[in-house]
Amino acid sequence: LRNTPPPTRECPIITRVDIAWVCVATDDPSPLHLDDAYAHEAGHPSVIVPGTLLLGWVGQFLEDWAGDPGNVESWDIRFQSPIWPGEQVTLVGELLEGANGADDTVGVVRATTRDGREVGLANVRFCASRSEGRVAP
Amino acid sequence: MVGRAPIVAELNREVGAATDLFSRTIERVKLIEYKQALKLHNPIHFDAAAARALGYRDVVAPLGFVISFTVIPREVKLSTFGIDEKRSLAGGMAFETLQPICAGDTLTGRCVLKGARHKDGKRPMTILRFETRFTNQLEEPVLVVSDTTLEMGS
Repeated sequence: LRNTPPPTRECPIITRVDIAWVCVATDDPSPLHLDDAYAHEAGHPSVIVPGTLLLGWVGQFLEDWAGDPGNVESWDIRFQSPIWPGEQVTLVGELLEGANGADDTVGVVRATTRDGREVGLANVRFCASRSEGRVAP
Repeated sequence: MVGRAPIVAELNREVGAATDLFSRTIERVKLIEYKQALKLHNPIHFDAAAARALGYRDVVAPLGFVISFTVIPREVKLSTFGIDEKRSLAGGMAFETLQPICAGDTLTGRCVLKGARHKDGKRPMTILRFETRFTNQLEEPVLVVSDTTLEMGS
């Protein structure tokens, strides 16, 4: 478990190809993510970036922070605002409680777009001792 | 005009309503697709040797890979709880990780409605809270996923 969160991370600019790939990888055929006409009918300016994309990026950020995904005891994310194709998300972590190597370390990750719009807020609880007893098969 | 409460009742949105039980094996190819889609860099998700070096049985599912839709078919969840996909947005998700999930593991779970409430205001919506508890092929609890769906408008 790192003593501090990973450095601020600029995620890739989200393209429609990225969206299509995520929909394939997660078996998510929702037209809200793929069909502009459908998204317009639903009242959106364009297709919506799947929440699973932000979920995966935040998950990776937490893994880098934890050193081992097994050290992440629990986490949650609130999708605060839709993300649109062409936007870029920045992830910033903050340690709230605990210290390097300590169980029950708590942190947050804030996801914002380049124009400062908050699109996600994640809370995480680490437990560094969870990976200690794991033995290679 | 029909009030909101009767509509909710008609859609079988009582707390405790659930989908059937579903199972799915986590395929290595889906982990590779996910890694490529999100441009993930941790090799334990696609390199079995790297995963085993950290004590895992096989490549590990990344955090956030397994959600309720990973195992519960999307159309089943939507139809069971009467969710209008066009008016819906994901509100959030929460994960309690109990055991690692690796390629080849077979997960089993059902999606349960834990809460349904209507919120008035400038942007009225129905807020649906779900929980899916997953076990693996050894019947060990591995993951609890809670998720919130926002159904916008009336």
